[in-house]
Amino acid sequence: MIEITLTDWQILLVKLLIILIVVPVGALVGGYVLHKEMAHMQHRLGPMYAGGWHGWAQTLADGIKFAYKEDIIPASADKRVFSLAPAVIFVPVLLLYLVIPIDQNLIVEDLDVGLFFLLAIGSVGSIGVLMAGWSSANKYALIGALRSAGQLIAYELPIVLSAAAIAMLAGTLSLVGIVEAQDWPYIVWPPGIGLALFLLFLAGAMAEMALPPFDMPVAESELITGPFTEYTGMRFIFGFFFAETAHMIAFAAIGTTLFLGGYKPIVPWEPLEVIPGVLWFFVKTSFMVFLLLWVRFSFPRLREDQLQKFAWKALIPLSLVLILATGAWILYGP
Amino acid sequence: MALDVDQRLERARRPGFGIGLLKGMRVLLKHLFKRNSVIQYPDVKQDLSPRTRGVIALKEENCTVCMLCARECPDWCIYIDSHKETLPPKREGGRPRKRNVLDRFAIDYALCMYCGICVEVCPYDALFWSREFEYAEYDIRQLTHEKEKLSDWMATVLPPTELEEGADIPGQPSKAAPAAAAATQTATPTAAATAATPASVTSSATEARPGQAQTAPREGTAATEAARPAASAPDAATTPAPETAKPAPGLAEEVKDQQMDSTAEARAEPEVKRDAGGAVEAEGSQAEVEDKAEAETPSTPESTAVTQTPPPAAAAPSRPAPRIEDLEQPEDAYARVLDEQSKAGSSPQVAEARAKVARVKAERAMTQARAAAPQEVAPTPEPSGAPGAAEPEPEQGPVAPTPEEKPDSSAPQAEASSPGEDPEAVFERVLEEERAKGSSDAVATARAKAARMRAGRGAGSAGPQEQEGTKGPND
Amino acid sequence: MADTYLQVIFWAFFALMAIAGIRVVTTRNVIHAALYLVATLLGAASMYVLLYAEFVAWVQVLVYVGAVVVLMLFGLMLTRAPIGSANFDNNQRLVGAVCAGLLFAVTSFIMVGAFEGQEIDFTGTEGTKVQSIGEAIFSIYVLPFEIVSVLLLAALVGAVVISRRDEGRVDS
Repeated sequence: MIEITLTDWQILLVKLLIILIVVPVGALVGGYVLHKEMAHMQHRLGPMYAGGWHGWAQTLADGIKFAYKEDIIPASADKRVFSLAPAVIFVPVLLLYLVIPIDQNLIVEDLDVGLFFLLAIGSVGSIGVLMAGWSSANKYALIGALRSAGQLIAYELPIVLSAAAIAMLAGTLSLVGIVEAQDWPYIVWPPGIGLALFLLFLAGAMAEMALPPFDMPVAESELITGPFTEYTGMRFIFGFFFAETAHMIAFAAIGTTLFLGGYKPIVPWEPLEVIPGVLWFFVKTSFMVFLLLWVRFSFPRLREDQLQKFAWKALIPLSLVLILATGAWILYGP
Repeated sequence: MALDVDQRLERARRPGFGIGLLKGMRVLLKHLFKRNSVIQYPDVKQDLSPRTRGVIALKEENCTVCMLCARECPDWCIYIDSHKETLPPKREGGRPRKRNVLDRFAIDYALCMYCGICVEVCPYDALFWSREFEYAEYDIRQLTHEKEKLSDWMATVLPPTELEEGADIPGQPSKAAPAAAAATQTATPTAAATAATPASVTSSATEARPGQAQTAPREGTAATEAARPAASAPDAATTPAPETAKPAPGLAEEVKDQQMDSTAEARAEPEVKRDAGGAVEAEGSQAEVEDKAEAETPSTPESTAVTQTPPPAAAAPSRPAPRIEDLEQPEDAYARVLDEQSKAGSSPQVAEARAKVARVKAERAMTQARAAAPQEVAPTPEPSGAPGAAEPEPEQGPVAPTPEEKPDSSAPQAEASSPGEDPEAVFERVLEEERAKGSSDAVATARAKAARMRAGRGAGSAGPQEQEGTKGPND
Repeated sequence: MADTYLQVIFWAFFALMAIAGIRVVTTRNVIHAALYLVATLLGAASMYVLLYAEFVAWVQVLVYVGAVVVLMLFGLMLTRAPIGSANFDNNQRLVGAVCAGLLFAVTSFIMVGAFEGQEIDFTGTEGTKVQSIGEAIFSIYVLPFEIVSVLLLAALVGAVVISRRDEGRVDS
């Protein structure tokens, strides 16, 4: 038996490679799930042809189609910024996967400040959106970018605050540590506060990803596709579709990690321990994706002012109250 | 007490904030697990309703270039070109015949809005709905279907649908007839359906018309059949009553037309009707269309007039005609309908309007019955404006089928005992008269036969016949 | 071995920071300047990481890149940000250069005076734990921390007062 020894750098490279393969594939599958779930919820069938069986290859076909499309850069656009923007949007999304623990030891890097890393990297994407909107030399794109930025500023606070409450409960910022600190019944613990934090996180996440009902930046009836109006081909698919789906899965995974007990079994029962944590993680993340999509398809789009009002007048005060409640629970709770 | 709209909305929203959103989510979840009923169209084709308005098919041989469809088309998307042809007279010294020949019949489906008025309005059943809808084109000009293409669609026209259970059979007296026919003359589907029947017969005759010698006898028969009811109600046949009794005006002209042709020789052949497949088909579909149209709107007496003539196909010997004493008094009808409507839950306005309609109808029925009834009741109040109405009956009479050849329809008439003149005597008398006038043998015989038949029928049931005879013009 | 890698990474990020920093002040386009600033700040964050100060690095990213620059770009795009070069310069370049030079000189002087000749060995350290930072902030440095908080609050209130229009003036 040959023993292969790898240095730390080589292991890191392999892990990065896996991320680079898994995330796009996951995004493709996520896109297919999105198509299908939306279709069936709306009493349609969705893609049925590509690939033969229930259109399983639809997103792949879409991707190939986009790859063949001409890459058009508008004449009056700021060319360098324009072509850089999709990367600035997509790369942070990829980086999010670096710290998510898929199993207790299955993680690219268990950072001491993993939670903080997620929040920090997640906020970089907004720069890319602003770049895309401004450089397109298109008023719809610019308005979309401004909306997007305003939305990100407003909704980052609830996410950060609810994550802070979780960190307080777990006593660590390490994601593995947070998962380990969680006990059954994950989400409703501490009573009331846990569920409220989860909903808060969900609302913030959906707004940050610009998913309906918070998709004003790409409101097609007003702004076509917002910041991505002028994009075509691969840049469009990386900046918009791919990033959106990958972002959604990433947030589902983060939600799983923070609130649903990550890779732990659903109920603490001995026989269930046999099932590998990856599977539990996968099941829970799928549930989160389903939930995000379900909300996305059910709710109507808010108006821009309603969106801001909802963030500043409802979510942020609520999250501050929840931080207080969490503190009280830690001090005086059992 | 008086909250303004904003306040009320506010109040309605407050208790259930977010509940609506959750309800929406529940609906979506339900649909996710429901069986999907999507029909994957290009692979699976839906079985469309027989009444689908897909494309309009043209039965070219039925078209007489009457232009009604083109005139009624709201989009003006029907283009018809024709020319007149003069046919040589059938016999020495006769009048040359003119007929329309269809040169072009085109429907521009780029303009058509699929209202179906042309199909409804066609008196000769030359237009039909087909369920086909896959005729999109890359060039808008291709959407103008010329008559060849329109005729090709005929192959896709469905046979008429089965009648609903309990529906009256076209050509048979309505089940409700004895009571209802007299009562208010509210149109039953049967009334409408039977109204269509003569028209379909006529169209079968039309089909044969384009100068085919072999079919001449049959054609004559068909004409006769069509003509009989109409001619026995000459006024009905000649009175223009365009707005409701669709078959009537066309029928009248056609009958006249056919009479001339068929004077030569007319042999009654029962299968004539069946022979013209189109006619049977047409009859059904026309009846269906009529069914639908008439079931909703009350029929007017015009259609009833035609209805009450015994349809040729059906061997209905006679039908009890309304007598004045059977008829409902207008005021009674008004009160009854008002009562019915209010019980049925119609709004007061609607109920009143319907009651008024019923009253008017009852009044009209009274007038007609009075006019139809033996002269002592009342003279016909309104003289018919139609020229044909003034003509004496015998002259108009077409050749009637002989009893042997068409026993089912004529036998009861022949058997009828005559209180007045004996049918045979009438026959002899008219024959004499005609010969004296110098009519040809055939014409004389035909007219005599017609007279005999009329006399026989008149003897059989005086009421209905005279009812028929005079009903038409009163409207 | 690992040291060589770290050296390479350090110099790479140093070059990035230096070039981006120069471009921030030389570019003619305000948006480009802001974007170069992002690059500079990310370079700074990477420096913190190299110094085993993860927490500070990600704070740098979250606060400066994710919030300050976004807000800056937001403000610029909302007001005036044409594509291409537009001269927003004024003739106070000399004053600016003098100020920046002085600031650089003072900071270097202090830094060199404080750490001159000192070598900090990071080998074998786990880096700064978040816990220790938190303990430091809320025990030793609690007074400066609270003063900064009050200062920020004052700035916040001031911003609201300035941006808020008088009710009466709105009507007129």
